[in-house]
Amino acid sequence: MIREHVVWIIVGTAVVTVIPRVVPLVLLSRMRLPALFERWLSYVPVAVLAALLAQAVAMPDGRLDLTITNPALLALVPVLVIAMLTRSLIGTVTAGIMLMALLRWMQL
Amino acid sequence: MTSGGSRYRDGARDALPVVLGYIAIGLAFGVVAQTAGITTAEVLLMSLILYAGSAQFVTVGLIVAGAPATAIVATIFLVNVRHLLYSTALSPHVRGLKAWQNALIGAELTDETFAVASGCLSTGRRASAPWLLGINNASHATWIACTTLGALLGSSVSNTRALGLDFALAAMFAALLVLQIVNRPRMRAAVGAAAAGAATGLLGILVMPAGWAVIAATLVAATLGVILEGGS
Repeated sequence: MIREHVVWIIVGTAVVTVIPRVVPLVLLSRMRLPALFERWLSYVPVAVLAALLAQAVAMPDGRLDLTITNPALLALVPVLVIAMLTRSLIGTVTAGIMLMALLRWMQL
Repeated sequence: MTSGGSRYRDGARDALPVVLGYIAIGLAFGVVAQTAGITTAEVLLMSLILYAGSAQFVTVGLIVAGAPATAIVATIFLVNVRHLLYSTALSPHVRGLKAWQNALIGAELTDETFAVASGCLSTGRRASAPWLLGINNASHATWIACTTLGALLGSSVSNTRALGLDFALAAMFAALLVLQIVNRPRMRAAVGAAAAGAATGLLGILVMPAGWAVIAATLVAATLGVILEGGS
């Protein structure tokens, strides 16, 4: 079953989402950007990753939780160390998942 | 960083951390939506054409609250406008591709696919259309399948939290951040930018929605990075 007003809401939200996703990629890739702006853009991934990581570990259920009972916060330091030592994306993710399963099993 | 290749298959393989993360969040979204009275077909349509994690949760919440359609669409625009930054940041890497290829690539851009793609590109990988589409399609297919499955199974779905799968994306962000920093010629500037980004991203949620905190963090941290780089 699918309700008509819900379909319109979904189509509307999809349209306003796809525009900021597509327009810069299509238009800006056609032009040369100022060197200083390109240098600025090269810091966007680091900035975005740091912000997303901070939000993901500090508010795992959408609410701010900076207590010791937040397992994501406990797992952060070991995961960063593993990433630095192994330099492996999938290795770090696998270790992180196992560490989190262990923390949950220990009821933390 | 990972497979190193530029074929479709390589992209799908590079997306594995995103796929693991989307299994957990996708199932959770399907269950939440079904519990809130959203039908399986509506969940499928939403995951197919809206395809945005936090925005889908917000949309369901607003539909259930009976918010008017225009208010929901306006809210989702504000939630998702941060993609402007991702799309802009990727644009210098895809100069060689055709406009329709870039449109296809942009349509499936998310926080996580941007993170993986830019992580690989920082190690000197060249962007190819098949490789980027491989990352995107594997992630999107997982999202569609798992949100729909979650809606079908409802609360009978097994607990992915006990398996630790809900930590996959946080671990991925941590690993990509470390890899980004160690791969930069000016590591001091990158560390400074990361610290500023984390602080702004966290403090920002006290006064604004999480998506806007990401935008604020990016503006502050990238500017600081350029300033630190200039001085070193």
